[in-house]
Amino acid sequence: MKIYLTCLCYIITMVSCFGPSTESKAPISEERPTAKIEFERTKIFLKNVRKGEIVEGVFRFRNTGAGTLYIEYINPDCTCTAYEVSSKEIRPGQDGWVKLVLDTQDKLPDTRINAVVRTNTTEKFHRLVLGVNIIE
Amino acid sequence: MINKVHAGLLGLIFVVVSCTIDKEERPYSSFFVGKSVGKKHITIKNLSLDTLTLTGMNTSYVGLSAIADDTLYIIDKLFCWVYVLDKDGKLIDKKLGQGPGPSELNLKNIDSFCFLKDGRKLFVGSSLDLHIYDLEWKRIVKKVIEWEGDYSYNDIYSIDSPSPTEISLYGFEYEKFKMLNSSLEPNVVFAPIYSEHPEFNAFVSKNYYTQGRIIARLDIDKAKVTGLLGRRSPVYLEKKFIGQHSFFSFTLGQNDDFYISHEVDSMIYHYDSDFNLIEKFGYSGKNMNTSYSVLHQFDMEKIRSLYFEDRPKKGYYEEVFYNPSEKILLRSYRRGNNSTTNGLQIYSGNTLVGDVDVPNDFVIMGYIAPYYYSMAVFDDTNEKITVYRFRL
Repeated sequence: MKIYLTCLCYIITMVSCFGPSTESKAPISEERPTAKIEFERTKIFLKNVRKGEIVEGVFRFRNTGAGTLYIEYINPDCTCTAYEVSSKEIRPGQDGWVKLVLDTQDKLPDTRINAVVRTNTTEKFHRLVLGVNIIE
Repeated sequence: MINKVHAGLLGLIFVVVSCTIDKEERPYSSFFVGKSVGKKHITIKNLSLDTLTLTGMNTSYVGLSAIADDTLYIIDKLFCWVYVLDKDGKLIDKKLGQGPGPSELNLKNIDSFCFLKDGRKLFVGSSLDLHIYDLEWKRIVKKVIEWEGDYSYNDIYSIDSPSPTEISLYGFEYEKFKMLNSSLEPNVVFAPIYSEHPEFNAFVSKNYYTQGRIIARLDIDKAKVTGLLGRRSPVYLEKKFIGQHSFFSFTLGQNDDFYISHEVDSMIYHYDSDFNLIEKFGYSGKNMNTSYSVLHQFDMEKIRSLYFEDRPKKGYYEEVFYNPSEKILLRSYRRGNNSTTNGLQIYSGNTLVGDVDVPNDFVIMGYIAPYYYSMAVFDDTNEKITVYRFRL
């Protein structure tokens, strides 16, 4: 019985030593370089758009951080709006763009579309606005 | 013996009939007719406002604000962050954020919310979707609200003369989409409603005003509308019709009693939980432009113009808040005419004790002793969020 208990203690000790907790004893590695997204502008307003026209707003940005920028998703607040992105992975110093494409067919004269961009940056969310003044 | 049986049967019938009668079939006048018990005794001539500038938030500047459990909250409608602040506006914590995770909120836009008295948090999206979080901010429910009566939401629009008691006739009133939790039933919230039915709406129909209901009783555990309450003010009938102003604000007392303030009516109506009129009181705000524009013929373009261009130029009552602990009711109003100030009425019980100028972005929100707070002002242009507060 004692032998069993000793073996059990030994096994537990070994598991404790080589289990996941040993990882926390490793020296804290340098902090992972963070990405930073800087948009040229976050609001685009288009005037005198004919009702029914499909309009686009292109929002250019640069990754000014030291880490790779990941565009996790883009979420326009209206199903009337499609989007494109230059790439979902942007290296430090590289440029990119997000394009919002709006169908103005059933829209009010002054329409504003918001799109939320989620990234791996410290400020996780970014708002893009495409505003359109629609004429008949 | 026979008499006893008859009496018993009669009693049973009476009980059954009482239970099945729709209480809302009461005459329209019973919701409004009664002597105004309001008094006026002005003791407050002005207020000293603190302006709290809220910083440190990743925000879209499209938001809502709330007070619950002596805590101030900023709810970012687009990013779905819920910021927790102390009563001085200092940022303490941040919860949720847009996303599909169990501690995130998967909405494109938060349309309304309610922090329930039992600590749960309720959010509603634009597809009648209901999201409930527990005390640890973990999602526990995601459901679509069952919003149908005898007809489906789609079918009701083909009915010529819909019954005003038909649930599917109504939808949430997004313009003033405030949800308040019942004090008597933890699973119940009340929310404003309206109808866009072609024969039953704010611009064409007298019935809409005399019979249309204004508040939905929503059972959040069942995700179901379980009642329709209230009526719109008779002032709308006098004007025939000023649908661009057919909004109201409400606040609850301790026993689910309702205080209702309609946008164009100076009266505040106080009802019990079954919507029996308890009292009415109230005085007109100062320097309000009440020359409301009337729509004589249904015209969608004109309606849009009345709503977006005409309404902001008019004076109207905007928001009421009742503080049961102090028995104080506050009512915000707009003056119109490009006024640089809004008005704030202060009622102690049913006595008007103050009618003061406040900034034109001030709308009353709530109370954390000893301060009353305005709703947060989201200044998208200058990227600033402010809250006003004052003490009485």
